[in-house]
Amino acid sequence: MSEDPSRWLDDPDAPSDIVSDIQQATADPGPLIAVDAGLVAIKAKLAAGAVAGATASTVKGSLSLKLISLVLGGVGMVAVGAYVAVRMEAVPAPAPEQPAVPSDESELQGTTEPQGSEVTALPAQADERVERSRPAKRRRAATPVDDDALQREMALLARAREALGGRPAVALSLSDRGHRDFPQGVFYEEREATAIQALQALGRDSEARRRGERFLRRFPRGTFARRVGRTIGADQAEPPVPQ
Amino acid sequence: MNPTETGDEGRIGLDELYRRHAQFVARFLVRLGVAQADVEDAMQEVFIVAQRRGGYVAGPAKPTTWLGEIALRVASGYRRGKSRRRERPDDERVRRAAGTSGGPEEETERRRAIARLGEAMESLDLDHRSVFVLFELEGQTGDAIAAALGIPLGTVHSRVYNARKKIKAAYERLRSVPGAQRPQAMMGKEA
Repeated sequence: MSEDPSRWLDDPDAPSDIVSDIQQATADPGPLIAVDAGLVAIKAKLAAGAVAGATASTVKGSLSLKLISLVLGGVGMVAVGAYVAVRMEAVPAPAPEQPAVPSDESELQGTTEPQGSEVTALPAQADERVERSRPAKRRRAATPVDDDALQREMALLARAREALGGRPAVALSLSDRGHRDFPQGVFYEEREATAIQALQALGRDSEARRRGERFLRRFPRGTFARRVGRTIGADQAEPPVPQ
Repeated sequence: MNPTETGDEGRIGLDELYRRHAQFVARFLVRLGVAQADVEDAMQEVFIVAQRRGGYVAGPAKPTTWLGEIALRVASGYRRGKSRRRERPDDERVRRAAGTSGGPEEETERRRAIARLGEAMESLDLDHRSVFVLFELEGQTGDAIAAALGIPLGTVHSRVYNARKKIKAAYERLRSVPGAQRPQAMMGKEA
């Protein structure tokens, strides 16, 4: 067995400038990572992969949502999760055997970013609507691409929320990245709320207020309106009560 | 049995493997040239592949070098298939470092040193870069690297040798760039 050469760090003849840079690099701990959120995201992806190809595609979506909901634990996540579950499963049937509920169907499928009251639909109501609107035989699985994108979007949001606890710059960066990576994503509202909180935590008050006011104009009755209002100090006026 | 739990003797479950080595994998991916913004996604891919391969089982390769081989493949996809983004300074890391060790000047110099080395390593292909990083920066032995990458020990040594030559040449080029940031050692040497 031949012996390893001396490492540059241990070699007095090695170029001192390079050795100096290597010393600096080895002292660098590397990028910050959200350990818990990362582990949950990995398990969610593995779980999704384990059932891929089986007929349990509905389980696939709901399992991932449960996992991520456990991590996030946010009240909004439950409501948004229900919205996503509906969205994933509500693939339009070409010729419904029985009349769907038109207003519900259009509401559930017609938008890429949830608009206020749509997101705040109670999970039980949302599930019920889907059950009523589609016969069991007509259920279709979301495409793998949709599911994969959804999981990535959820994982990114989970990381942003976790970072909000002590690393607001990371939370802001991840939230804004979510907006860029998932322009058609379904978690826009919660992501933007997270970004606003992160801006406030960073002391970037004017940006937080500007984005917060825009948020409240867009989602005045949304699940996160109260939280955003508190963040920017605009919670004196309660959001309008839904009709 | 839950496949993510520690199981057979010598086998490390996903949770333990991840908690112990996630930081190493993230750092290694960055050193292989994966953009900071892609690191967490790439890191998840590494552990998913690791789990699908049946998890780490004690053998000639250490967990870090075993994960390093997977990271090398994942990094290859990220470097080849995704657009390279210019890195922005990580405010949080700068802040953390400035608050805990040394002042802003030291931190600035540290970041310059890392950037310089990173630029020099860009002259290496991924095979050479991974061996260079594992050997010179991570302090892995040639045997462990050879076992993990499935190459003879002699190949590891020759890659270290060739990588060093290219790194030296890259530093020569960096010295010749007008206005390039130079470390104290480099400036002292040339004075």
